[in-house]
Amino acid sequence: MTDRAHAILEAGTRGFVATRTAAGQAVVHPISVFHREDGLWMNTYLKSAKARNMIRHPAVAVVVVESGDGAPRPPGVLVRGRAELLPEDAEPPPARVEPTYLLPGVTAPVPGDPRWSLDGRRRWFRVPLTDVTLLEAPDAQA
Amino acid sequence: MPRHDVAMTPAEVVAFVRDEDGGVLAHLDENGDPVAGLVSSRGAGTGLVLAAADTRRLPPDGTQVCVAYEREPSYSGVRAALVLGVVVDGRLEPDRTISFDFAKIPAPVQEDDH
Repeated sequence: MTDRAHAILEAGTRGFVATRTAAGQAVVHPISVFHREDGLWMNTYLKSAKARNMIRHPAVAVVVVESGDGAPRPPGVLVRGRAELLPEDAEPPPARVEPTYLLPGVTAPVPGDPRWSLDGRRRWFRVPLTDVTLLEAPDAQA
Repeated sequence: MPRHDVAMTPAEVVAFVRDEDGGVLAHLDENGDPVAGLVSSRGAGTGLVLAAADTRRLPPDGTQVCVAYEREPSYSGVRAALVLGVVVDGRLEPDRTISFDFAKIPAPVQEDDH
């Protein structure tokens, strides 16, 4: 992973997770993502469409951008891999660096915060950082 | 807990997507796994004209895609439209849309309101 991609993942929590539906189509949903050394952590309702898709077909693509201002645009990072449904008591390890951008109204996860579990109705998924691509504007490479 | 219909109306979706100039495009690769990238977008007639906003190319004509448009001024203000359709000549011809507007979730009722 390049230093630039690493910096974007550490700074941004604005993510989009692309999954495969039961009908065999791609669909992409917004989601907050949290970068940790062991992967990208994402929390969602177990009954949500994206969770059901990830359980049925774990291969996902996650796009992370730096900021919440306006439409998503480069630079960003694409992470591809298999989303792992974590046990009900799993919690993300502490962040090495706190993100620069957090969606207003969302707080970074802290151990024991019940909002991230809701009695098991919400669960964490983790995607390893083994296939990471920097998404730059075409003119950024000139 | 009651579930609330947070979908945008068709007119709201059209207006929302028309105002957005970029999104995240996803499609399936040759192995049937999802891949995604950033695109620029502008409304034109009944379709959406797309262009790759990063160094990845748009998928070829006939590819089933989904483009996510999203604004997130706050968690309670998140609005998003997921437009599913087919790429034809760099245009997205929509088949269906999934949308949500968290502002449509009623505010918690205060005891003083009764």
